[in-house]
Amino acid sequence: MYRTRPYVSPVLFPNSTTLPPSLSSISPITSAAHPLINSLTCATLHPSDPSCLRTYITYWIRVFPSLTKFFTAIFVLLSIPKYRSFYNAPIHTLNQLASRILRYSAFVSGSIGTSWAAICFFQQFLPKGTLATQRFFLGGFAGGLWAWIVKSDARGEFMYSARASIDSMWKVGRKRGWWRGVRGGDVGLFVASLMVVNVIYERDARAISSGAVRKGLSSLRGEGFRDHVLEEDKRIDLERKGL
Amino acid sequence: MSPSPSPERRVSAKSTADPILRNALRYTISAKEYETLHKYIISRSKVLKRNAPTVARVERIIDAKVPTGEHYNDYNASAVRASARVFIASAAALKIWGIVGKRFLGKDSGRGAKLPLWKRSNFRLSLSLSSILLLHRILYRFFTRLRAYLLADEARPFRRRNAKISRTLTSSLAPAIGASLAGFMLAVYPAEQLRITIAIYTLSRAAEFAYNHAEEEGWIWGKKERPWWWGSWLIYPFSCGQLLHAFVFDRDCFPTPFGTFILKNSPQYTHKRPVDYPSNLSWPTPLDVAEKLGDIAKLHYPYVFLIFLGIKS
Repeated sequence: MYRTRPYVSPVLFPNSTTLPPSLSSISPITSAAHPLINSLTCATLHPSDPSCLRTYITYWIRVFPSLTKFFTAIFVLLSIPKYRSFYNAPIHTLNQLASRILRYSAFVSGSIGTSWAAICFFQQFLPKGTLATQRFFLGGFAGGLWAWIVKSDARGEFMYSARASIDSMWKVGRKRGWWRGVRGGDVGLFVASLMVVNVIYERDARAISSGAVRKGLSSLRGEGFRDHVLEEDKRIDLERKGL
Repeated sequence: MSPSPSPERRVSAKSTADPILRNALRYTISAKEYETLHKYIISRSKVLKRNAPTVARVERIIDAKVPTGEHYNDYNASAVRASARVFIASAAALKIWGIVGKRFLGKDSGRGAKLPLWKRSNFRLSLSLSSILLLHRILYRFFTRLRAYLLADEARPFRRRNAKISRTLTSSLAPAIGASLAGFMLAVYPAEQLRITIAIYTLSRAAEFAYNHAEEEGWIWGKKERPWWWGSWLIYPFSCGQLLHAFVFDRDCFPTPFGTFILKNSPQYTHKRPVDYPSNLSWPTPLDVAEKLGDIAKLHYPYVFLIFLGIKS
């Protein structure tokens, strides 16, 4: 059994085969691994460096600056329409922009890097058979905790990840036979969700927190492509000023 | 249209009597829109101005057979106009997107043979969107009016006879719920990934708005304060965990762009083929490595490298 057979380091004994046949495709990486590395996952993830912590730190040093550049480009482009606030409060706005760029970069590099590093971490501190596959979920969860630093302005990103996750979860369940798809089930889901949105719009239009969606709903009802909540706010504002 | 010495009189004599022209005009443009169009575009060019009908004339054609002093304002005509515009705009956008994808992003449009129009997914997407809009407007109006009729005094006998049905139909939410049935027109679009994406998107928005509403009404926290750590960020660890698990064990169920982005930003953990590596040997791609990590986990982490130190695991 592979599970009990001790590993024969290929660096020391180049002619012996060490990997089970199902893993042979990664042997180009693992066969050159540092002899001090004592686990196969580490030999796969960081073959040249025996230290998991140093790998993690080096990862941050390499990724954080490149992501900072990436987010600088994105957020500067996105802030062009708000050029007025640069004029009115330049220091404050620049400060906000910089903090946003740094927080997003830390968020993304943190969540990717921590997920990788968690594989090493669990390998070191958990017995081999414990949560053998579930630990990947835990690793992703740990990486996801970096969301804390952008919690005030990344709701859209969180919802996006939730959608991606629901989509993926649905397919995994179907593949593994946890549930079966109903023909046209997606259309049914769409209608049900549309009903919920419509009912909320009817009862409490302010709960529809997106102006674009409010406009769309108003147009779907033939009331014009208008944001009635925003118009009401403006009217109230004007009345208050008039008084 | 050819200019004539007295176009106004000729129109009133002939065109207003022509129901085809009148309806064609009504269903393409409203009098108000034509006025705007005239003001900003037609009146700027001499040729256009000479040949296009005046605002008053269009108004007269559209408002024909409407009591004087009122404007023709048909809800259905406006719904058809909006729906036709959604159809044309979405079809054009999809066409441009297809061209951009083919020319600049190198995407293959697939399917070499030309499909008939009603089988093309772009056509069916535009058709589906525009018919959702049209049907939603019509149904909303229908249920609103039905509710008004049922609430009128004359309908009292009906209400007494069919208490349950009339209670449902006279609910203030009946138009909102009834109109949502228009969503079934999404089925016009062939069952593809995009349809699932649209459904999940709507679901997530519905959940978000429902949460907003519930929080506003105090259904969640009651009289207590919302805990300081609570927020949408809590979603992220769970979805991230699920996604990482799927990435390793079920990559066929994982969104590809997500994976590309992650692997692009994973130096130190993924390893490119060395420059001097023999070209006849294979080198695992990062995706292979991720899959193999899953296999290692399934084998319960088989290897311990300690033989170097003389320790057997």
